[in-house]
Amino acid sequence: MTVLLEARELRIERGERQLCTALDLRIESTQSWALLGRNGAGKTTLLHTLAGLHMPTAGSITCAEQALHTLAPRARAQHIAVLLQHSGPGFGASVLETVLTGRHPHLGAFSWESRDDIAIATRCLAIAGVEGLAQRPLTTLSGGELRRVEIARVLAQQAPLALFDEPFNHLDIAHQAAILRALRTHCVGPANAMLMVVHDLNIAWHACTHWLLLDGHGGWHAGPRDTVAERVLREPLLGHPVERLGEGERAVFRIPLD
Amino acid sequence: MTPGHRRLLALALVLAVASLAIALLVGSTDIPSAEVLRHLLGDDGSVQDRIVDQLRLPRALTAFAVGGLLAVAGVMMQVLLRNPLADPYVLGVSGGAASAVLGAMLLALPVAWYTAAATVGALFSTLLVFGLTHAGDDWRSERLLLTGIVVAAGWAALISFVLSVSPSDRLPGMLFWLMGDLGQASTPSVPLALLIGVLMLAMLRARDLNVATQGMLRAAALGVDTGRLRLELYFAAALLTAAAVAIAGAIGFVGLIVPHLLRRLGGSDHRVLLPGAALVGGSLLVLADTAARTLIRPMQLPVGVLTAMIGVPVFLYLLHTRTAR
Repeated sequence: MTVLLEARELRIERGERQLCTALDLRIESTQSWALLGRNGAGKTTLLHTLAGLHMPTAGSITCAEQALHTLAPRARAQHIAVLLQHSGPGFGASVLETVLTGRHPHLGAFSWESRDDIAIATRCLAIAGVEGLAQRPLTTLSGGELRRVEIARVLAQQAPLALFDEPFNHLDIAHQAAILRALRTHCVGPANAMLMVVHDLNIAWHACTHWLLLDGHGGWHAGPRDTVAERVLREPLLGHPVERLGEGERAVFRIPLD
Repeated sequence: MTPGHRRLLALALVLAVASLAIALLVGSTDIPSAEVLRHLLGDDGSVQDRIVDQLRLPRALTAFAVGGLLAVAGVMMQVLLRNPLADPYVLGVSGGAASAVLGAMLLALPVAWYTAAATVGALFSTLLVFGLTHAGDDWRSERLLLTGIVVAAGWAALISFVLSVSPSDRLPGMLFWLMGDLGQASTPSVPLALLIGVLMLAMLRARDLNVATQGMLRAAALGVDTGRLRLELYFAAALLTAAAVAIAGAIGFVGLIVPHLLRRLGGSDHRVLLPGAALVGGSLLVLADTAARTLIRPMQLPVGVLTAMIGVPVFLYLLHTRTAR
């Protein structure tokens, strides 16, 4: 088991607001983290900070035994892959070309994608269930298709740590299940870990081993999913009471409406 | 490189050679093609020899270089602003450069100062448009176009002002230059060297540019040093535009039509798009200039009039299809 990312005493602010204070987080291989919290609690900003795309107000993040912000952008992208919340269609590129950009951090300035890179991209397209779209221009895809192409790109990056911002946006339930299985298989292992922003507690429970919850006032709860889930059941940390029916792998989370 | 990419670049190369050949063969004086080749290779001191060696060849090469500069500048601005409608002329960058050069003309500064004046004008104009458009981490397309168009209108007003206070003996020269004119072109080596140099540097960044078309945040996530890339693109695009304007005046729409055409033909990968834009942009301006000096010969039209006649419908079509989507 290796430590892929470690944050210490992390403080993130947006304007006057404290998004999180004194956050200590250690992401190790074999773990999968769910990042939970209400709208505007700072999940995306925290994800960007952990990815090295946003500077924290205070505290340190270590990746590959080096301070994250001193890591060259290319080296950082070899260690951390990110699925951003919003997809941009760019202009003119095909689905295959887009997924191939996932190989960008692995290629030298002058090199073209090799046969291996194309094979990796094609495999990732198949994993995400969009192999039939390879030659289509990005601009012709539906929201769900675009989302899966983006996920394929993250997979093609083959980084030990993958961070997903709401990966299930726009996906129908069949694709949610398929992508969930794919992420568990390909992003979690002896050398891999992932963290995903999710709102669905059932997905968070069944897909993740650990939960990280931001309360929106700078406070946070992190740890094995059972521990954090107990807190969520006791206190309305997500702004609404939550019930759990059943235990363990049969558990179902329910949001009582009255 | 896919076979399609190779075909596209080969086609662009053929077009470039053909356009230069046409420019050498056609003109207000009829010179047989065998003679042209002989004059090109040897020197017999005749008038025809001077027409080919000292008028047609340098003019064609300058047109090629300027067209290439404008097309490559267009590609860079489109990535920087993430908008295929970006073009040095549309965004007022050419206008800024032209105003500065006209100011230099009004003050009767030596010709050598024109390039410096154009560079300052182009950089200032780019800064103005970017500064007013920048919102958060991304550039807003509509705001960008509006800002660019308004800034361009401002430069146009300034240009009118300079023209109205200029002594009447300088007016014809100023006007012709303003509309884009290659008649004075004589030293193609400088713009050609600039084009080749910048192109080679840009090729090092070509894959970064591919990633950057999908947004700077995504490019950063894929390991691109986006702060540096932005700065490089900004300076390179402004410099190329400035050089083109200083040499040939404000020639519009080359930077818009050429990249669009190449993307349509499957060349959206910048490793193909950059050299392709240089070749096709060069060819387009050589052909436009050849038409400009032969359509109603022996009179010469400003080449900018011709590129605008092609460019305006293409721009409107692009704007329409993008809004419709």
